[in-house]
Amino acid sequence: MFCGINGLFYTGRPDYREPANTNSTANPNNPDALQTLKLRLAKGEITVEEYSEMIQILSGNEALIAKKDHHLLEASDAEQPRKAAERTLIGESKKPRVSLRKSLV
Amino acid sequence: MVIEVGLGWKLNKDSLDEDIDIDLTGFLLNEKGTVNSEDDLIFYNNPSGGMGSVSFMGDNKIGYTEEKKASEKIVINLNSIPDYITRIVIAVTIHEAKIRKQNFGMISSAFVKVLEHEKNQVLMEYDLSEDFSLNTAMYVGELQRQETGDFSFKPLGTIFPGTLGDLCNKFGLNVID
Repeated sequence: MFCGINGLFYTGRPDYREPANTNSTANPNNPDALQTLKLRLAKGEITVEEYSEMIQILSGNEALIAKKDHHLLEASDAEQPRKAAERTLIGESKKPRVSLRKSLV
Repeated sequence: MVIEVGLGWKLNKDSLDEDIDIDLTGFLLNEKGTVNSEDDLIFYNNPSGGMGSVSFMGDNKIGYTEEKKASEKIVINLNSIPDYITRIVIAVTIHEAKIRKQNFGMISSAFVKVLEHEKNQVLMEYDLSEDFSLNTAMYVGELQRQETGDFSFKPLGTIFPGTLGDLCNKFGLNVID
């Protein structure tokens, strides 16, 4: 059994399966690409080295995406207090309240 | 100078199963176009505002009984309006129009008169039942503070597509029921 990078295992059999509890770093945004790579490796269409290179490319993309997500999260977190303050300043609770109900008399 | 905005209407008992209740309302607005507090909404539940400069003279739920006499009035003392009030918007709405399925066209005669209070001199007059027949709310006009501090009255006579509650929201009030 060959242990590839990123915790993927290759048994040499076309119907190999990834072990349970694998620590895969597969890009969750593009699972199809990883599956295609696995199949191509299993069918012998690409070598283990080519597979490794492609996985690295996928992992790199994933890292970029993760970095971008991190920035987005940071921006989102930074924005929340300001938005909360704005809501307090112009919030509905600060508006004068009035009842339009008429007395029955 | 004191001006008076009067609203009058007469029910058409032959075509109505239910009374129509029309209301006159004044919104005393700051330079942002909103009211500062609930005191600056002059209507049937708040008869005085603008530090006593604007008064609502009483709610009428059935219309006039004496020909062409105003059923509801808002009296405005222009000399004592506080500085923070830059506009006073006067509106007319039908109470619970949606529930009762009513509009201005269902009354035989309705008018708004703006007059100089002391001289009883009519400055302008609208007939609601003709021009606004399918509607339930309208802007009568607004008083605007000029740079000199004087006020001018701008007649509007335009439809507002909503209710008194919608008008309140527009001018910065929360309606609680």
